[in-house]
Amino acid sequence: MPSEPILEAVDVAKTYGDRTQALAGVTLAVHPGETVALVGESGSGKTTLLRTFNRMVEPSAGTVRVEGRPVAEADPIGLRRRIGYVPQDGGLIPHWSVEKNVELVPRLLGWDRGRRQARTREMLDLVGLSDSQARRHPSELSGGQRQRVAFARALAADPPVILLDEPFGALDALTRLELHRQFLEIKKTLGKTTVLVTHDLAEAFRLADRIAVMRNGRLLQLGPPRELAERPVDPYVEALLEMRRV
Amino acid sequence: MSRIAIVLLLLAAPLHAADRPGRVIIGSKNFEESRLLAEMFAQLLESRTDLQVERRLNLAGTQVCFEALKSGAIDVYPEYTGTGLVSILGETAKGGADQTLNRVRSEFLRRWNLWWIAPLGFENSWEIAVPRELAEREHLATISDLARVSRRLHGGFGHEFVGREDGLLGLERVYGLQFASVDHLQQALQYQAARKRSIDALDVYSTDGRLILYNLKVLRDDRDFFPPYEAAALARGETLAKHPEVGSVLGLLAGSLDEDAMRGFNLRLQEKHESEVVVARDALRSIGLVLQEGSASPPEPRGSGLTVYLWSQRGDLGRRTLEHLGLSAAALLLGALVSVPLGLWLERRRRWAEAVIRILGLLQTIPSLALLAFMIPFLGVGIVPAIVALWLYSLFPIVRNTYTGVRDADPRAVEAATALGMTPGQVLRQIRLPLAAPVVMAGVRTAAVLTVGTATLAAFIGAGGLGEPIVTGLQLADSSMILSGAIPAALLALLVDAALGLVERALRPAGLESRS
Repeated sequence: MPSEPILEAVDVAKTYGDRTQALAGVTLAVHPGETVALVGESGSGKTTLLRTFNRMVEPSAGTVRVEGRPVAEADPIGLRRRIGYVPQDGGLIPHWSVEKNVELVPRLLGWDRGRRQARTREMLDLVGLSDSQARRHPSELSGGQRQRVAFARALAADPPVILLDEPFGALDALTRLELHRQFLEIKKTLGKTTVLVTHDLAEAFRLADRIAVMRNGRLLQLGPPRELAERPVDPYVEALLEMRRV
Repeated sequence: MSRIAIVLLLLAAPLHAADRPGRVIIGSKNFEESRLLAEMFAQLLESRTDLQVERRLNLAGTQVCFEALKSGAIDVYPEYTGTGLVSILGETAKGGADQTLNRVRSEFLRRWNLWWIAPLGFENSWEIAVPRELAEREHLATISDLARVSRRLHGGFGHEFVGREDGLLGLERVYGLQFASVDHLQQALQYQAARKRSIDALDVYSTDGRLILYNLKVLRDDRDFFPPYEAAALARGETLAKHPEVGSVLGLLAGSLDEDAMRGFNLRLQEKHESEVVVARDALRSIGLVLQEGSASPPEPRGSGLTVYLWSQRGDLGRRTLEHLGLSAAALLLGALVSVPLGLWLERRRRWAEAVIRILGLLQTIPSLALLAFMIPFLGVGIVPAIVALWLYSLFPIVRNTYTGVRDADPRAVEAATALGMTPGQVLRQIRLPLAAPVVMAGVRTAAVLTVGTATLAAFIGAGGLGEPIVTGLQLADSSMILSGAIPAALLALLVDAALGLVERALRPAGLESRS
């Protein structure tokens, strides 16, 4: 494993105005090319941790680094354009066509038209959407198709890192499996560093290189799926694994 | 807000016509005789001077006219000395006509530089009348006689009369009148009510032509309660100094009319529905102040059916509809120009939003007439205060819809776009505003219907529009005339609503339609 982490959280804590503690000091390093899954119940702090990497959440304490630089010193707009993002429901812009959605970040970065179009085509091919679908609006697509578009949009400007916030959560089981398959394919081809938030341990086992189990704003255990399965360090992790077997 | 105030002042300035050289504005109250006298002033000035004469007839009552005169929104209007003494100066009546005239002359000059010129030679005092049959049965000749039997009778009095010290309030005290019941009625309805004997006593003006027509007996004011109401032209001193010819020409009317003549003219207006323009011209001819040139155009024949009437009024109808649309459009445009930015500003400062929107909502509840009357001291009468009032009403729906439309625009798309590196400005322009556009437009549509509806009231302060025939028709209890304003106004509101509905659909971004 390469020694320089591409994403790094050191003692990161987040307390909201009403004194709810979302993160109580989390340290985590993600290395280039690997996929780390953040697993836990709702309220465990996994989404908050994810959002500190693109400065959608500002930590109350601790340091977050992307490619070795503290994000607190980076311009958030520029930072976000270098990080792909897929939320649970896709977050597609409803009055834009699929194409226009996909080329969002390239346009923000000022790519010329030809390059944008070629790249959009390439991305839609990658996620398996046709030309005619590209001209439609999101409301004319199925939920699974919309998530594919969201993936294409996140990858369009070729960011080194992508952040996924329960991207498969709202899909039916069959579509989810199909998208899992596609995710693994893309992972093999592009080798992007990925952080995946999910409450589904089976999904984490299937997709991630390492799994971080979180509870009450703390990191309980971090390791490859096999290590988690064989040596759970905490009763909660054990309980989670039990549920997976059922 | 100060910038808006400046813009409004700039708009108001050129319309504040009293300040312009070479122009004089004649006002009147909203009843026949006042309009007739004002029209006579106007025609006489037009024929004898080079001044451009503008008419602001039908202003709603004494307070509105007087405020308009003080503020310079009008230059002259016909007023009665008794009204000046009691309603404006707040004094009690004592002495005869000459004493009253002298008193108001000196006080108005001293306090406001307003001049009572050309006392016209007749009084239009308040009187109490009863049906002749009742007078004979009960042997009523004086108001004291009436007081003797009033407990068994029903009074029906005009709204203004009931509330005034020189009206019913004082009358009850001085004569000990006490009616079994008192109804508040529109003047024109009083006569009909008296004919049907729903009421037994009513307030009348001594020059009212209907006294004869409805067979009413005027009771003598045996305790000299009613002050003398001598008609005269009330003019601004500044206007008389700037245009001395106004004083000398209107002076020609001094002493030229009497009660009999006025009753005749009023009858033509009230019952034959001739226009003030025609009657005023005949009146001026009869006293030899304009030449007998040409033949008077005969009064327009009035068909019995509403459609015939509407057709005969088509020219006026077109003009009024345009005025109406103009007023509404100006108010709405200014409303949108202020409200959309205000709504966007509030969305970024949500702490203020609740309070501001609530205050705008409160404005909505001010009765339109009260708001219009309130504006007169600041903005005078006519188009400007009407537009400002309509503008105030248009703010709430547009601000509220802009605020909520932008606030609630697809939060997930907004979040994702932000997370992918759009700046707040880009998110606002490219995502939130387009998504909010139909909601904003729905607010504009609500405001438009509201504005078109309320604009009928603008006629009360002389801004014209489709309210004109409604206001006049209410005075005359002429339902054809009322409908000739009300129907087009309602149609206009529907039309505007439908047209803006199409705009709303056109603004709905593609990709949203199939969802709903």
